[in-house]
Amino acid sequence: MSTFGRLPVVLFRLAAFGSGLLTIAVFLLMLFLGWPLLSGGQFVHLIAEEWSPDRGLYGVFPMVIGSIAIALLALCFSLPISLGTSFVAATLAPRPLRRCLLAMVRFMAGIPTVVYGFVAVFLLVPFMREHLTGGSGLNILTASMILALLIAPTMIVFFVGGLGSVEKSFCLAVDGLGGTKVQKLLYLQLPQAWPAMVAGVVMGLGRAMGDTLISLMLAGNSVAVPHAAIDSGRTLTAHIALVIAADFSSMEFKSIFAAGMILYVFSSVVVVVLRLFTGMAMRPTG
Amino acid sequence: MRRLLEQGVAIFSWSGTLLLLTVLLVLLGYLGYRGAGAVDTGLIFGTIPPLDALLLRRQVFDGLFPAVAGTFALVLLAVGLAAPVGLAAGIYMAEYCRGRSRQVLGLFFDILAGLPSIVVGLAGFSLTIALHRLLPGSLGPCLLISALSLGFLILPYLIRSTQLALESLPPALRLSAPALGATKLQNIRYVLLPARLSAILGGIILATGRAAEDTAVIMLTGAVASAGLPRSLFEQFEALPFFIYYISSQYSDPDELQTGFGAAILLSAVCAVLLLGAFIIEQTLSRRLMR
Amino acid sequence: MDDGAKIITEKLCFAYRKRAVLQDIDLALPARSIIAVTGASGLGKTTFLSIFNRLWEENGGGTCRGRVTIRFADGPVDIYGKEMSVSLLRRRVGMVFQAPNPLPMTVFKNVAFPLLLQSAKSRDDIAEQVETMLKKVHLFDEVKDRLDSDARILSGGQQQRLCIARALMSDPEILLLDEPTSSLDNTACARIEELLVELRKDRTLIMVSHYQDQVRRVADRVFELADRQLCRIW
Repeated sequence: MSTFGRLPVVLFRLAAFGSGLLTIAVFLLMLFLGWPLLSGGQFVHLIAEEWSPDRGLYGVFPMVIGSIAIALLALCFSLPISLGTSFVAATLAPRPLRRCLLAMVRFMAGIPTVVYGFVAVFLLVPFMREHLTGGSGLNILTASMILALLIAPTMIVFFVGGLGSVEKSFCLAVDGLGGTKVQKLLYLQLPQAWPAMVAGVVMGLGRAMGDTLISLMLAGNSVAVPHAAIDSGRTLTAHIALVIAADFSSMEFKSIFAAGMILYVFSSVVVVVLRLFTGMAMRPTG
Repeated sequence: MRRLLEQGVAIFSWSGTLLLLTVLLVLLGYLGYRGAGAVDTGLIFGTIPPLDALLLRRQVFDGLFPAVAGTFALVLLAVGLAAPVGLAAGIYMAEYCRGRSRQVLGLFFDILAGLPSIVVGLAGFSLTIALHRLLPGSLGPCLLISALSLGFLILPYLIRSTQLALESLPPALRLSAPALGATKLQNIRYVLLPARLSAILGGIILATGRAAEDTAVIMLTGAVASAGLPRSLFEQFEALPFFIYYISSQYSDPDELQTGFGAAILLSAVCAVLLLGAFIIEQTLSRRLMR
Repeated sequence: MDDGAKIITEKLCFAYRKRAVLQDIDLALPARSIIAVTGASGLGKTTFLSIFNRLWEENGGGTCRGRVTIRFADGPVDIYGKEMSVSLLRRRVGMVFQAPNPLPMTVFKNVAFPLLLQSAKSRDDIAEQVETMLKKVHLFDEVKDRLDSDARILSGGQQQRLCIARALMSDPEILLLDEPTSSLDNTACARIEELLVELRKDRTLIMVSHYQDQVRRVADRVFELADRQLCRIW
C-alpha cells in the first residue's frame, strides 16, 4: 500500500511542477537562441533601433510601436462597446434577454480568430480601400477594428462577472428603495466592481497585444515605423510569423527571439497586474 | 443633471450593444452569403465518394479532406497528450499543493495561460532548432511538434478548469468519505472526481475548441498548404485554420476562394458545436447539483 | 483511571491558530453508553468530536496536544501515536454529521461505500450486508424499491438514517454524532433517538446536542463545554 499508494501522488506532483518548469524553460530557450543579439548589452539597441537589414540594423522598434498602436486603438474601439454591452447584459436588459446576450458573447469568443480575419480580408479591406483610407486597405486602422471585435467578448465577460458579483442584499436594498436599473448600475454596481473592470481592460489589452492572425492578415506588415492610423504596420507577433522562414543563422532570424521575449515579458506583466487587481477585489474594503 | 446622465448611460449602453450585434451579424451574414454555396460533401471530399476517401481507398485532391483529417489528428493528439498532464496537475493543485508552492505554481500557470500563442509556437519551433543542433537531421517541424506545442498551449486551461471544478465542491461532501475511513486518494478517486466529472469534461471540450481554432502555433511548427493526408507523426501536415489563412492571401481562382469560405464555415461550425457541447454538459451538471 | 473506560484523554489541549478551544482535558468515558456534550455554539463542540477520529486534520490548521487512548476490543491504542493509520482509525470510530451527507450516488452504493474502500468481498456478500445494515436502522422497508435511485431523493430523516447505516458498515466501536437531529422534524428526530438507544447496547456514542430535553431523554452522561473545559453535569 505505502509505496504503491504514493505513486499517483508523485505523478500528480510531477505533472504540476513539470508544467511550471516548462513555463520557465520556454523563456530560457528563447534567451539561449536569441543570445547572439542580446549579448554585450545590445538589448536596448534592439528595442530602440530601426529595422534595416541593408545597414545591419535589426531593431524591432517599428514592431513594438506597431503592436502598441494596434492594441491601443483596438482598445479604444472596443472599450465603449464592451462597457455598453456589459451594462445591458448585466443589469439593464430583462432577464431572458440577458441570458441570450451572454450566450451570444460566449459564442463570439468561440469563433476562430482566423475566420474573423478571413471575412475581414474580403469585406472590410475593400471597403476601407475604396471609401476611407485608400491605398491597399491593409493598415493599422483596419486591423484594430477587427481586433476590437475579437477582444470584446473577453472584456464583456470580465465586466459582467464584476458587475454581477455585487452582493444580492445590496441590490435588493436599492431595488427596495425604488431605484431604477440605471441607478442601481451607476451608484451601486459600478463603484463596487471597478477592480474587475480594470482587470477586464488589462486582459483585453493583453489579448490584443498577443494576437497574431488579425494583424498578420490585415495590417499590411510594412517594416517602417508607422506615423498614422492609416499607415501599414507590423506587430511583434506578425514579425515572428513572417521571419520564421528566413535563414536560420541570419541576424534577422535571431530578432524573432527578441520579439518573443518582449511578448513573454509583456504578457507576464499583464498577469501580475491582473493578480494584484483581483486580489484587491477580494478584500472587503476594496 | 443626474437624470440626463442616467438617460445618457442607458442610450449609450443600448447603442453599444446594438452596434456589436450588427457588426457580428454582418460578418457572419457575409460569411454565410459567400460560403453557403460551397457547403456540401464536395467541399470536403471533392469528386471522390466520401466512403472511399474515409477508408483511404482513393486520394482526395480537390477537397478539404486532408486538412480536416490533419486538424482531427492534430487536435486528438494534442488533447491526448495534454489532458492527462492537465488533470494530474489540476488535482495536485486542488488537493495537495499548499502554501508558497501553490502561489508560485499558480502564477506560472497564469503566465502560461496569458502567453500569446505565437510565443508558444516559437517555443515549439525553438525545440526543433535545439534538436537540430543536438542531433542533426533528426526532426524538423512536424505533426508531433505541432501537437506538443498545441498541448502546451491548452495545458493551463486544463489545469485551471480541473482545479476550479474540484475546489468548488461543498466542504461537507469533501469530509464525507474521509469520515468513513477513506484515504485521500480514495476520496479523490471515488467521490471528488466522479462528482465533478461533467465540469472537468466541459473544460476538456473547451480546450479542444481552442486547440482546433489556433493558427499561430501550427504555422510555426509544421502546418503547410499541401501535404496530403497525415501519414506519420514526423511529417508536415495540412490543417483547416492554416488552409483558411493561406487562401486569404494566396488564392488563385474564384473556386479556391469559394472553398476558403466553405472551410471558414466548417471551422466555425466545429468550434460552435464544441462550445455547445461544453455548455450542455455544464447545464446538466448544475441541474443535478440543484436537486 | 477508571478501568471500565472506553476512551481516556490526558491533558488534551486543542487550539486554532490563536484561539485555544480546549485546555487540559482529563476524561474517562465509559463503554456502551451515550455521552452528550452541550454548550453554546461556536465554542468548539464539533472540534471536540473530531479529535476522536482526527477529522479536524482534513481542514488543516489547529494543533492538538496531549494523549487520547481508545480501548478497542483488541487492545488499547494511542490514536495520535506514530503507527496509527488515520483511515483505519476512522473505520473504527464512525461519524454522523449535523446535516445528512449522502454521497452523490445511489442509496445502495452509499451504504456499500465503506466496503468499496476496503476493497474485498463478493457482490452477494455486499448486498446481504447492505440489507442487514438498512434493517438495523429501520430504513430497509422504506427504501427497498429505491436502492438504485440517487440517495438525495430521500427525505431528511431517511438520509440521516442512511448515513448512520453507512457509518455502521465498517462496524465501528465508537460513533460520533454531531447534532444528528438538528436538521430534522420531530417525528424523524424521535426515530433517530430510538435508534441511538438501541445502538448503545454494543457501542459507545459521543453526541453533541443543543437540545436539553433530548439530552435528558437519551444520554447516560452529560458534559457542558464552557471556558475551554468540559464540566460534568450528570
